[in-house]
Amino acid sequence: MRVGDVEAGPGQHAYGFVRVAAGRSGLAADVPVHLIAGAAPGPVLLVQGAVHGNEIIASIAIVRLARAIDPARLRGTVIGVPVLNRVGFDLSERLNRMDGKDISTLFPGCPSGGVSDQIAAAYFREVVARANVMVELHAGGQSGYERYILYTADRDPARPTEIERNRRKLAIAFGLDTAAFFPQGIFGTNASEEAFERAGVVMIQPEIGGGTGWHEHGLDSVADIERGVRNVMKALDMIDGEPETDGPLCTVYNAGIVLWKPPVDALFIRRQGFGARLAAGDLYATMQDPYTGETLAEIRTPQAGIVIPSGQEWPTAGTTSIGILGVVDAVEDRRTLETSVRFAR
Amino acid sequence: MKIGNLAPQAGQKSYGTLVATQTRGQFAAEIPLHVVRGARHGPALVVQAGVSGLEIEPSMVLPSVAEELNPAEMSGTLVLVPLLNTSGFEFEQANAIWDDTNLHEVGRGRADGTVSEQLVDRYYRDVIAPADAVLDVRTGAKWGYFRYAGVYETASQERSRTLATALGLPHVLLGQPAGRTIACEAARDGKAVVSVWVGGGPGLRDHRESDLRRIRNAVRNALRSLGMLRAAFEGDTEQPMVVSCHTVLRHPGARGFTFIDKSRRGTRVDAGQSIGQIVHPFTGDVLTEVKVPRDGFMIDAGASWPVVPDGYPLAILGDIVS
Repeated sequence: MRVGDVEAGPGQHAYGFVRVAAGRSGLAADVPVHLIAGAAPGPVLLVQGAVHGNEIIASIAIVRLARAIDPARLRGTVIGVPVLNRVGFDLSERLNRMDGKDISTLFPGCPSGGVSDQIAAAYFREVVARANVMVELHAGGQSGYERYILYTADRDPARPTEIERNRRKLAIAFGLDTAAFFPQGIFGTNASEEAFERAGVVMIQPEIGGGTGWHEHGLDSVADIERGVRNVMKALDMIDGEPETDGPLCTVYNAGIVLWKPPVDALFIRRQGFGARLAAGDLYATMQDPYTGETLAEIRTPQAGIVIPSGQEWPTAGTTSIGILGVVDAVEDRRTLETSVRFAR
Repeated sequence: MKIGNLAPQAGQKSYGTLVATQTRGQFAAEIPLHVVRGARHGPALVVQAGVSGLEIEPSMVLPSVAEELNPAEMSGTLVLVPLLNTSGFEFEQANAIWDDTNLHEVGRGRADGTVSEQLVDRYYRDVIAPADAVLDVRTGAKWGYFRYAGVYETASQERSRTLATALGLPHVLLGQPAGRTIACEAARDGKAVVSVWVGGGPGLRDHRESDLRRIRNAVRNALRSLGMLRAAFEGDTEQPMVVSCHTVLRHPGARGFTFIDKSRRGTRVDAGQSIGQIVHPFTGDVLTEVKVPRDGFMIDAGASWPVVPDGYPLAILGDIVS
């Protein structure tokens, strides 16, 4: 198996870089890749971290996984990418400062575009397109803490496609007690997700860990990711073993209530924790004058919902959502749900 | 008394701003502050926070501390600055935005200097110089987590130590590294000065409420210690571990993920003992061990988040004094 200039024969683990675009100074943000080729054939699993450069929990877990996976006992191939956005990683920033873009939204990329578009194009061609399954790992950056798995909503829930069925299976197989999907269009059109689907890649997005919970839960988050990826590998029959999960049940939320910063900006103070059941109009957070303590705005839920294990905690509201609520779509029971997934190619 | 646009009478409290200068775009470089003037004469205490635009959690509680106080029951004057570096807060960075300057590094400022130097100069002359005591409330920003009271080694160290010991925090660090901070300048001027290090982003999720309570208690305990307020002690302990600082471990040169063994904090460690590792971010190779150069007590302080800026303290150690 070859990915960029990195090549591994059956039963081998190779490490190297996939060449991508260089900036105006010649700075080349080539992407580090672990290529672990199993001794036996099987699917290709891409495990990718830090497409947002400040979401680094997964990077720690991916490196640990890459060192721990035994290629001799592996069926198929694992491509481990600890850090996709290297410049963002170096600067502890979500975006790629080379052009200020979010690489995660640019797939399949554009070879004649800006640096991030070129990075996306090369990476998509050399790495993503070779995978059957892509686990794109996210976290709360330094401003939040999260613990759920996200996947793209079915276009027609009554008639899900094979890719849609498989990503829901793998999301549940990952092993967390909470999964969620955003209703179609809630964040606008996601060209990257469409590109993955067109390439036949099943993509799931665990959202695990983050800076505000690191002091007490950092290594737990790393362990959650390692466990989850192993569970996906088991569901894909890449390794042997029983899944290890939070428990038999996984609550799947339709996460259709996204809360944003109100017109007034100030000190953001979150008032609700994970799992809080809120009625319409309940208080989620306040914007407080940092100098007087006066409440300048109240952020209330527009409709009833349960707080997804997610959202801003650091006391400034950024440009991303500050809270996500959902309603229960289903409670899946792993004891009876078939979560194994097989691929022809 | 008059500070900025504030001129509270005895037994009153007020809120306003100290305008130091204008930027070239004619924004006011100013500092919002509360003044609580007791009904009776007494010492002047300044409580300042947010000198770094990323050390903002104290502002979640400090305004309510001013609101809670009844000046009729107080002696002396409390000047409370919940968030000094307003431009750093606005643009979510440690430094003041107007000249990209760390307000902890300009000493007592300069009247003919940059915007930041002028801001600190005016603040120092109008607020710090008349004070008897200063609490400089600090946090670990987005990288570390802290819980101790620090005292500079200056001529006023004993008075500062007395104040630090009264705040209710578990550890007191004597001889914390000096620098060109406003607080350090105040200590050099003979004032009782304590750096109140509480909290930081990596502990925000799990310790926010308890840390905000610690900050509130520290201010009230300081007022109590200075004879400005009759109140019961509230805090973690009235008998903190007092440690004389001998080592601040910083980045050893190699860069990657920094993992510090936080379980060692609050314990004795031996010379040569590893308390952490710097790990290659892509391969997981251990690039270097973070080792303790001499025996000591590791206080509850230092880096937590695994990506830390160069120069950030990884651990602080000292000898137990009492």
